[in-house]
Amino acid sequence: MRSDGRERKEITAFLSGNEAPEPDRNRKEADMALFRQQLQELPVSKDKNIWVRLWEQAEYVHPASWTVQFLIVLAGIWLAKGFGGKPAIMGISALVPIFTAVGGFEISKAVHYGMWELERSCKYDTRKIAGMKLFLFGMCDLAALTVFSLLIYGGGGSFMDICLWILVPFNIAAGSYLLFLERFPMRNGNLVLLCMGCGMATVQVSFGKWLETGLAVSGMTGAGMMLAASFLFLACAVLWFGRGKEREDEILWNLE
Amino acid sequence: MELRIDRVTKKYGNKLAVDRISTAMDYGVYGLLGANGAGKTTLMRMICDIQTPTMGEILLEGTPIRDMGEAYRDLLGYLPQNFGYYPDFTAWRFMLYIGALKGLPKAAAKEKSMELLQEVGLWEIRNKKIKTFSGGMKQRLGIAQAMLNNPRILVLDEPTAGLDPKERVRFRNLISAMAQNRLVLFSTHIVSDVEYISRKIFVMKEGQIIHEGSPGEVRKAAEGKVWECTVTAAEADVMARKFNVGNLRNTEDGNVLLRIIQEERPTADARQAEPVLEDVYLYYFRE
Repeated sequence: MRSDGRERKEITAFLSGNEAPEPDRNRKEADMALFRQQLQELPVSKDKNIWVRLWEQAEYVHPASWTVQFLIVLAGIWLAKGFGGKPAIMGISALVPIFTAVGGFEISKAVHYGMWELERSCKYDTRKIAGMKLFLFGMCDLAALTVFSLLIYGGGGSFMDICLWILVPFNIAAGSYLLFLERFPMRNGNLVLLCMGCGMATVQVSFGKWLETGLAVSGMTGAGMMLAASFLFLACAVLWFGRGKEREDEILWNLE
Repeated sequence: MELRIDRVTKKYGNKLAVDRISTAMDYGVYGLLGANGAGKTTLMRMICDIQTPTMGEILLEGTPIRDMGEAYRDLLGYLPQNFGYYPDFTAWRFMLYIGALKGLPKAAAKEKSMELLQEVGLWEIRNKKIKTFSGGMKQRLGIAQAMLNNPRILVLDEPTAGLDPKERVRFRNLISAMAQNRLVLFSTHIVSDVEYISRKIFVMKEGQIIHEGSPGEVRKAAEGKVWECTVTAAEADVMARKFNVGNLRNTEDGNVLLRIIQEERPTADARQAEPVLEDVYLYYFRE
């Protein structure tokens, strides 16, 4: 130990008494190049938490989507305040599939505009992006459905009205859109979704009254069963959509 | 860094798009040459983890890229053949969006986007919508987004398609400069693009790599198969139908100088010529 300490002192004394030679120019440049290269190789990306990623996704949603959804909710409020009673309930119900279609536009946007390939090669790929958009628009849908339900309830509607005119149409519309987007990804899917939304709104208004009469006989049990079935349909559609994203390449290749 | 492709096959129903390809790449520029439908894009998509091979595996340093997932895509930059964009996006917003998808912190994405847009000459027009851009400008934006995450593996599918000659040269130089410490794989059917900058060329036909090597080695494939002969205009017409003619040039004396690519001497007075890469291409893709 002691001899080690003496040796170290001797080396230190030797080094302090002798100047280190200046590295030659080539060596210096080579070292700098190596340093720059290693700096280049440092990872740029960072693992972001889910909330940051969701916020970032929300930032890149087309402002028109938020605006249209907001206007649809305003239209619902206007219907509830302006008409009241059954006409207001039916009007609000007709807005539900159209409101839901707007989320569908955003979820299918990558295919519609040919961005899917680029997005899929990124760290957070299309599957994750679609998942995040589903969550974002799911939250928006939930907020809008709450507003619509409160409007109906505030206007004297019953829980059955909320089930039949708001929740069931939403589940069927959202489920149908997801099945459609998974099965038929297409470049002009937006227009098709809008047509589907309008079609469903028309069917609801046309046949809702008839359905309501039928359900009046079976009462809450019938309404509950219908609601449960529609939830099951939506859950299956979400799972199907998620699984479809796994084999998306095959489907999209066929589009080209 | 070694990217190994091990017996990779891709089938779409009954169609075999990529057929048992095996090769390895490390640093430098690799050119993928082949006619349309040769399987270049499918191979590139599999390398980019966009499509899954029906059989075989792609491994980075011995680890299957499928298992690496995000960690692999973190090392990847990709320029698809036809990349889309959202109509409301400006070049700047597009770069930041891709930065977000690549997991870049916002400040880093902004800094890197600024640097890359300047490098590709789009900084001045960064706030213009992409839909107003020319084909060349879109391609330059495409390469800028591919470079955003400082990728170790850069895959460019037909990056020079639709560019004018000046832009193509600029692009080639850009690719060359970027390849210093990364793997760059790019596909094209413009022969001169791969000839000038590739370290290694893969010639693809009907889903298979039928030839691979340095430009010089690949050129050798056509050695002894390139012929030149001078004929009259009337004869040239007949010979163009009969042989695989690579070039046809009118001479000052009113005759035509033909460049023919085939195994046998086409005419008694035909003389052998030094092959260029384009001859190899025509030799393999004569149909």
